[in-house]
Amino acid sequence: MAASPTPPVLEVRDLRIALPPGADRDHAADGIDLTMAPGQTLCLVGESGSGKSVIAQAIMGMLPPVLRMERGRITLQGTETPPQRSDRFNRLRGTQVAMVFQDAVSSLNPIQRVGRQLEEILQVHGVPQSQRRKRVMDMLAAVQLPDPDRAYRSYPHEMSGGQAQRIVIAGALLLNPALLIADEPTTALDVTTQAEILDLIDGLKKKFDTSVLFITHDFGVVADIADHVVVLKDGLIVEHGAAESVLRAPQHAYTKRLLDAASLEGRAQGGDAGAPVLTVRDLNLTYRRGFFFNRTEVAAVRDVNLTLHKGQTLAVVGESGSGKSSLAKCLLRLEDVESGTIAFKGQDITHERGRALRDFRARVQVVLQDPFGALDPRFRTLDAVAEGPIIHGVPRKQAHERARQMLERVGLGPQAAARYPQEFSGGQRQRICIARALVLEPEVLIADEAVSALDVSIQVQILDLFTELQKSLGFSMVFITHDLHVAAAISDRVLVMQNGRVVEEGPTAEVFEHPQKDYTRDLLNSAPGRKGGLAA
Amino acid sequence: MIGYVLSRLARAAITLLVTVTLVFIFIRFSGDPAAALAPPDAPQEVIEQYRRALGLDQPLWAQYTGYLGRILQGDFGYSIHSGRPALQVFLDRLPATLYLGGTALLIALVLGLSLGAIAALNRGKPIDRAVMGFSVFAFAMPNFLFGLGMILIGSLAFQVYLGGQGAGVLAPALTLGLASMGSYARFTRSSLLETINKPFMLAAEARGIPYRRRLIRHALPNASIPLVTLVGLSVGSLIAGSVVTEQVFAWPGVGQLLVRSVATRDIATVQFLVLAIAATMITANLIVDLLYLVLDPRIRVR
Amino acid sequence: MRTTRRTLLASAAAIGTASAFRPLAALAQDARPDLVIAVDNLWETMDPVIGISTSGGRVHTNIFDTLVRRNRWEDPDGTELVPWLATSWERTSPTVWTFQLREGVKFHDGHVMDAEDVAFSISEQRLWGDEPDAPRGTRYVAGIVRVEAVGPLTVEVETERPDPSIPYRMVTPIGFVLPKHYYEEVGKDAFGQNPMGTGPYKLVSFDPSTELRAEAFDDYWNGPVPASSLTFRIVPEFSTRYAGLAAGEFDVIVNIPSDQIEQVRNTPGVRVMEKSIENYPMFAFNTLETEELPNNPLTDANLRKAMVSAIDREGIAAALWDGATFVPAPFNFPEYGDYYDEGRKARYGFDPERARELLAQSDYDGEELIWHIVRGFYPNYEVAAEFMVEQWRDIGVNVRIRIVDNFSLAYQRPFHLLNMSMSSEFSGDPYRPLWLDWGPNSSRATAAHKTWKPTERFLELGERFAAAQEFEERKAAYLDLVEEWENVTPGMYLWRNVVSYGVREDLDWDPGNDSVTVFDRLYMG
Repeated sequence: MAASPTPPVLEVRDLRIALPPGADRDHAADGIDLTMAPGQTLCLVGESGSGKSVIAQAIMGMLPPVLRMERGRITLQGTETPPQRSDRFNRLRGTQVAMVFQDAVSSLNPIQRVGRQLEEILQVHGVPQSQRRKRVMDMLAAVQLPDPDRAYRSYPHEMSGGQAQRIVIAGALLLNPALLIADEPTTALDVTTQAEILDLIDGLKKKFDTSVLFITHDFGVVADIADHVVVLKDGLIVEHGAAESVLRAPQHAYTKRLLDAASLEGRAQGGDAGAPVLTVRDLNLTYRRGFFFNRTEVAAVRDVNLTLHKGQTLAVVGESGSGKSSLAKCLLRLEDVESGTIAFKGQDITHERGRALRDFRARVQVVLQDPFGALDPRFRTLDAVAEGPIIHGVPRKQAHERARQMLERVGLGPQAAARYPQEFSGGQRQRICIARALVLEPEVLIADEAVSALDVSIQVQILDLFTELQKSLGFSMVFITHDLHVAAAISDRVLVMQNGRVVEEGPTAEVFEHPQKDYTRDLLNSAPGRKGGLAA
Repeated sequence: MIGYVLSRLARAAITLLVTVTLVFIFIRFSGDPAAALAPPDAPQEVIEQYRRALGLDQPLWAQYTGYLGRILQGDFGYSIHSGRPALQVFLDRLPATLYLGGTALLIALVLGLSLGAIAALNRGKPIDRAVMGFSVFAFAMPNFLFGLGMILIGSLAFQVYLGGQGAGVLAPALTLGLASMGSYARFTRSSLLETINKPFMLAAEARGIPYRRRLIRHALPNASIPLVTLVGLSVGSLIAGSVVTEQVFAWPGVGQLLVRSVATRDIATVQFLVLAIAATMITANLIVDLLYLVLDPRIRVR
Repeated sequence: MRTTRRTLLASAAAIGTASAFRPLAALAQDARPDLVIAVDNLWETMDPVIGISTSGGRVHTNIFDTLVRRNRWEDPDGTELVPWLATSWERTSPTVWTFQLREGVKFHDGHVMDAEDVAFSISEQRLWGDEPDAPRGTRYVAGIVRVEAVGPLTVEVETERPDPSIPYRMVTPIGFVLPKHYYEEVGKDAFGQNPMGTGPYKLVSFDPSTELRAEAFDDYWNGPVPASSLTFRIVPEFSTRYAGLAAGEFDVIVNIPSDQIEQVRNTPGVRVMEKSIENYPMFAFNTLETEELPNNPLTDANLRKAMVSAIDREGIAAALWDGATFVPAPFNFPEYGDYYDEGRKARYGFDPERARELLAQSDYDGEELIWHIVRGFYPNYEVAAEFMVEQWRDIGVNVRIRIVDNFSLAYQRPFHLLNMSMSSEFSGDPYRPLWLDWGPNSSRATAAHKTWKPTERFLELGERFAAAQEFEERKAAYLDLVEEWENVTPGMYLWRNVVSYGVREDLDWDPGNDSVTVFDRLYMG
């Protein structure tokens, strides 16, 4: 093949990466072809296990030894890359190709100042000491950090996730590489920050004339920044093309599913509000830490009022630190509130103890974010689900029968009952957790980021499951989430929190369409995909 | 931060007071010091005479308040047997113990860290298994057994006597440091393995930082922070081990003094030694906490 | 490397100026050995009375001399008194003993010893006043009312009542002569750290935590001194002492545990000496009814005699000691010369039949008897005790051993049997073991942990024994007193205690039956 006048920044041809024997398929990626022109943004879209990160690792020369590059060629700016993990690759990393990761804070050495870590990149690539400081400061300014001097002196933990991601991006671009690989760089961030970082990457791309290989699961993000899209499923490319055409007219069913997940419409559950089930008045919670010399106080929940009606779903939306999880703990009576009242069906349970508290807890159940940590690996599924009823006095045989029925209702067949949690996928485990919560026939279900850890297509399934079960069983639900799509998809009413306070509250459709408060408006505008035409 | 240090100091003072009180009580209930001081078949008058001389004829509370008062003035009493100040008796012995304990700690640190690092970098290979096997042995080996074994083999097989200060500090220091070395090696290994797999190590690789530099500049400093706690804790086991090691190697340090003072019911000396040991351990913990402040910027925000 | 004059010169230069200044001739001439004695401990003060102890006793006689000495170099039991710093003694009145002192004896600083030093050493202020400087010597000075220098080399010791034992007492630690001028100058604490006497070795350094070093005193009155220097080094752990002996680091080690004797004996280049010494482990019956022990079955002499008759002491001693010691009949001790009667047997020897008869005559009905034993204090005691408990069980007496950590715990009532030992070290007759240890002023009869009340007859016989001045009269009283003691049977003696030494094979040294170690020309060849 003759070299074109400007060779592609990246060219991947017929890449095949083998999985070790015994894995659920024999390759992590197969038949991968990618070509990136200078200045282009290519989005590699797929869910976990689709092989998108493995491809990025192979381009970086950092494939773990267990994954073998079986076939194919990777060229950077027309030159074939050295073998994986070879020392020669060190010279390419940072200079020709750089990478940023999902969790920016933890991709920095926690005990070194940020400035030093950035200068080290210049040092190992032979930039003379006299120039290093200036180049770092310039780059810190370029990533629009408000106070570059301070950032230079900071330790990673002293920065927010967004600031840290700016630092990491600054580090990646220090040596002006032709290609920047961004592996889910905004997934861990709040929506408003996410939007800023996406803007930043887009701006820097133009400024430094860098191509960006952007790895994501979120078509909202794709809509905002991509020129080209490659959709991966199970290590194979299922669809690729220009961003507009893929977004507008997806060909593959899988692409359609992902697109649907990113543009979840509000459900028209409506329905008349039943009697209030849970009523919270003027709730306050303050965390106190430390011994008498170094006491600190954090007001986690301030003057919160809410009413949950029978059969309804209330979404509590907020960014991290907004107090939404503290509120959930109060509702579950896991924290002793400072002031205010919580009433369950008219009965004040704010300070109940002993038997009354146990009864309350049987009627209010919870589903948590992490379906991996929530299940004891030594318990069979049936025992895990039946444990609650048995604790609350249901005879063993009857409890097992109820558990079996509930597992069926959440879509797990009878063969699931005898298996252990580690034999299930994340989505299936979350189904088990839901079965475990609902088998006690609660009147209120509190879901704390219950779908956040799941892939988008699975999210849709689980949200549907919630809705369907709620219809048939009639429980009320408090759904805590940072994700506006999710809130829109599941709730009748929404409550927006910031710094422990309720900012806005109302019927979901009304709040999302006509937000009254600036903060709510910011949140909605930051949601990925808005700009690119995907409506939330 | 000043508040933090002050609260630690307040806690240390309370711990010391409790220690002093417990020692005061135990030593008086574990047998009559006067009877132990007098010859076993001494007539009662002689025992009474000793009792008066030691102030043991006074009511218990008077002895206690008197003792506390004197401690606050820096008077720790006098050794029954030599009539010398307990503080002086302790200070005479201290250099030998510091020399032994310091060398043991150094050996344990140098060998433990290197072995742990070697094992971590050769994870799963025979050398890893060998090092870990050795560290289990080192940790589990009672030090009197190891010390005696070394001394007996030295003299019976090689005609070399390893006891006493004349033979040098190496053999007793190795004996004393062995257990700590084993736990340092294991801890270094697991801490280093954990650190190596941290995201920032991967990120450093992606920045083009070479392997050796990643290991030495990034992995080791991070991996050794939790080791500081372990070292602080092992001051306790070093003190406990020095009692046995000094006895076995005829090393004239504080540990030997403690055995002897307990055996002869030398109240003032025992009381002072326990106080000194408690103070040492509290200080060691305090140093660990402060060192954390220096080493780990994440702690400073508290 | 062969030692030639050249290498000697070279090494002298290497060692440094301090030794280089020493005449080489002297170095070459002194072929005497430098002895290292590994001891389990050193008493923290070397004042020979304040520091009365086994660990101090090993050192004292090498630095100090007593007025009178016992001859153990020819007779291991030392029954003969030998003039030492006192050349002669006589009774100049019924209550006064007059000692003539040796002329020209020098202390280590060259000061010549005289009667003032002796009078000071045994003075009221030091030993027998109301609050003496050295109370540990109280038991040796009982009855002394005046000590006076009556001439430059003449001292008188006066007692309250006529006391034939005074010359014997000058063998004990109170007989050590200390330099008055030096002692008064430095005070008792400093003296204890820098002791000075007239003995064969002169202190070089003393660190109570490590070692005591002394070098040959060339002006010693009874020279020449056989070793160039002595080092008593603290090595608390036996195995370490043994290792040092085997490696040639030590010349003498003390205290070999009885179960290790064989191992040491089989080590090449090493010999073992086991010496039975003048100390007798025993137990006392608690014969008293006290608040803590209201219905004490041991108030019945028949039970006590039954228990003594049930024990095969000879068998146990032979099994445990392999001939290193023997079982004495009560108060029949070889160190008492003419009082010792090889043929006398204990009245209640091993006789299980008689034991059962005596038991049947008692009111004992199987109560558990508690025996307090201090852990590890007397070698082999606990093992022997286990045997004895078995033998008592055979006749139907139920004894439980309670091992405690120290004497003051052992003394805490209630107990039925109490371990003890009794020393016989001075006075030339059984006055001490019989009358001082069991008489009306003894701790057995007066202390908080007392175990018996002497009978009227015992008191009467004791007074007669104490008052008797002539041998025949005294011996008769002694035998009557022993008979009365056995009549009551307030305790039982086990065996003569044993000390052991491991010694470099070519070291010609034998301390006799004693725990005191002396390295002068009489004990060392």
